[in-house]
Amino acid sequence: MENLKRIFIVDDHQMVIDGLRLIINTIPGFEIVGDCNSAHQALDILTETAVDILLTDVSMPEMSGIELTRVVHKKFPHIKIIALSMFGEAQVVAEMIDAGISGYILKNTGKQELIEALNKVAEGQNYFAPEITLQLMKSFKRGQESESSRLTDREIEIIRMIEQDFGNKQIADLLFISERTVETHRKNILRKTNTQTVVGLLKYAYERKII
Amino acid sequence: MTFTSIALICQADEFFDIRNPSILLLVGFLILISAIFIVSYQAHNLKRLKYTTGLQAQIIKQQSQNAKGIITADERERQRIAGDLHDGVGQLLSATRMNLDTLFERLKLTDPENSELADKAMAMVDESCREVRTIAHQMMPDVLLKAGLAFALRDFVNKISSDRLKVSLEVSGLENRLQNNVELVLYRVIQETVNNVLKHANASSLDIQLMRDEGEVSITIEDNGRGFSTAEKEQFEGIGLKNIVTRVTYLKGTVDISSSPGKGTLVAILIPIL
Repeated sequence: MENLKRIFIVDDHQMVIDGLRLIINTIPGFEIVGDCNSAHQALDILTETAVDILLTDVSMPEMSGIELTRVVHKKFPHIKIIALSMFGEAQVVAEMIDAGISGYILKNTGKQELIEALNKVAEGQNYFAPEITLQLMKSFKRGQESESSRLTDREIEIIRMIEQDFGNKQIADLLFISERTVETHRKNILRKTNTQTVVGLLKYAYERKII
Repeated sequence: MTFTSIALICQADEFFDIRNPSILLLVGFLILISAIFIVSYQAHNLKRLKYTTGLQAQIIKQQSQNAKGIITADERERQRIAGDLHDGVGQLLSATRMNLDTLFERLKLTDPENSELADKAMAMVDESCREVRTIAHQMMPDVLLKAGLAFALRDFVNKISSDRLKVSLEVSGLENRLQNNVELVLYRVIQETVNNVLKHANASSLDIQLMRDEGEVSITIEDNGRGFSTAEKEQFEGIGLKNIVTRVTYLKGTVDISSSPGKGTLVAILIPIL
């Protein structure tokens, strides 16, 4: 086995690096060529050390894993990057993907997952932990759902009152809310139905059989 | 002695004669004195009024500063705990998980009972990691600080939305970020209100709307749960609502709650924004 893939690890917690070392040392085909505890240090070492895969923590003091990924991706485009984090919030994962990662795994990872992640990424593919994929899918699905605005029960009730030509004051009294809240409801209703006037709104409501 | 008293009486008689110029002088003097008195009294009153309003303003300012102090201290504490959980416990657990993984492999457990025990231990550590992640996240979502309110809310909604409770979130006009403390407070208020819904409302749908308009941010949180009557209102208000009101008041906003049994609950919040 000559062509060992060279791994470099950055994490501000040494015990995590030690734990990873224990596991990766038993995985054939890979060797750890170095590690350090800060992104700045990592950038220095990477200019002198040949590395194939960079395993980096996401949240680190001073320079985060996101920034490190951006810089490494630009300066050393041949290095594949895998993010390693406690968290897997969709937004953070998305940012890391933008920055140039090839994989994202959570820190409570086991040997099997590491083997899969390292092999896939070494072959030029991507690897995302199942929990991460789930988060991403959820946020994607949500994003789609919110495209079409749905009127709430309360809003439909208010449209009915508007139909009866009730003013804000009357509606407020009937629903035991302040006039300003009625005003908020009105604004939300007009925005969601994409109408500007009461006539337009009622037309919208009749056409869609909302009231 | 008698002479002097007679002279005095004469003087007095002359004195009270209206034509005597000295009585005019005295009356004039008295008028002047009272005028001065009245003016100075009014000036004093005015000052007192000013002082009272000044004092009131001071009290209001003090209260708002107290609220601000409490809220910022609270947020700082949350941030610290979230940080400790993430950097301390979380990393320790992760490292533990990796060590156990290696240890069990080296031990080459052959007894199925033992390997079951090993798997169980690993699963427990996994579960602990998840717990820590959830708690730290509730304490201070990273995404709120990094990406802003809209993203953080989207994230929050993704986590609580389930088959049992459909949660919809509508955000409009929030392309630009709000002031940091406003975002934090609004996030907490929404989080708290939604947690109330989760705990008490037994609702199947929850609509959260956040709209930034000229000069204000409005939030409506509406559920179709069991609601409550005005008689129960106090009890309801005791639950977490005080926190919400304190936070909203700190931002000089208003909270409007409307509910009736079986008809769900609406919480509407309006915050003025510069």
